[in-house]
Amino acid sequence: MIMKRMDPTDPLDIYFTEHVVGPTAVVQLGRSATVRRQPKRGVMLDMLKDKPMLVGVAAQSLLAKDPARAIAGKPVSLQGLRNWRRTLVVGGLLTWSAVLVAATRWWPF
Amino acid sequence: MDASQDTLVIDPVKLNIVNRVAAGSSVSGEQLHFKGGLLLQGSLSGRGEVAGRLVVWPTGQLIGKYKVFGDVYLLGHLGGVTDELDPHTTLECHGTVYVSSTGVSTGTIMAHRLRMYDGATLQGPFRTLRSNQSLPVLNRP
Repeated sequence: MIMKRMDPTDPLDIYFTEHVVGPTAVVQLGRSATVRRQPKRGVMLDMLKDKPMLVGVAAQSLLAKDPARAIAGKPVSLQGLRNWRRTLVVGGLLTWSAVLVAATRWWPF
Repeated sequence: MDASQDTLVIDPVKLNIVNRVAAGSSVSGEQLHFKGGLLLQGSLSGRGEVAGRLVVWPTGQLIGKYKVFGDVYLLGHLGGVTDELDPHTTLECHGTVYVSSTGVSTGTIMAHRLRMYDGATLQGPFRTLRSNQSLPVLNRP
């Protein structure tokens, strides 16, 4: 069985969705019990794949025109997202600086 | 807003949630079909399917047998509230079920993945759907 999605780019659909279903809402789901109840002792196996997802969402929200729209439907910790966005920006700047330094040092003038 | 909590942005246009059962409204039927996602703020009972995401608002209630071809965000009740429990309520989700701190489930949940938050109430069974049981569903653009 194959079902087609409604066309989300149709202005009439967008109008009715915004006015009948409502505007964008932000809800808190609660503390993520599985992630934050990490033991202080022992080995924690990282099987939750939470971090890569958060990094991906942070990168998407940095590149997107509307950051809120980029994280729609993906429950994330705003604090964690903020930290990863900051880390990505600083990491990007450092990488860019390193590339510039390397280029000026090795460029045959 | 508590920064340590997970936050969900519900953008109906982006998430293609084009259907809504408003708070105080009640919909019942044996062959209900929602094309696109559904924001459930009222009561929905019977049988049917949702071809998209399902958001059960804190005021929402889902009773009966439903199949959802997308993620489910459970902030309300699945299987009725305490005085009118329905033991036959079954939710088959071909995606991830997120049960928030306000979510209560007394029915059976079958899904590919389950994510629960601190304070969520899960009183019914949960079964993992295997990938060979999944159906080819939404045409992604």
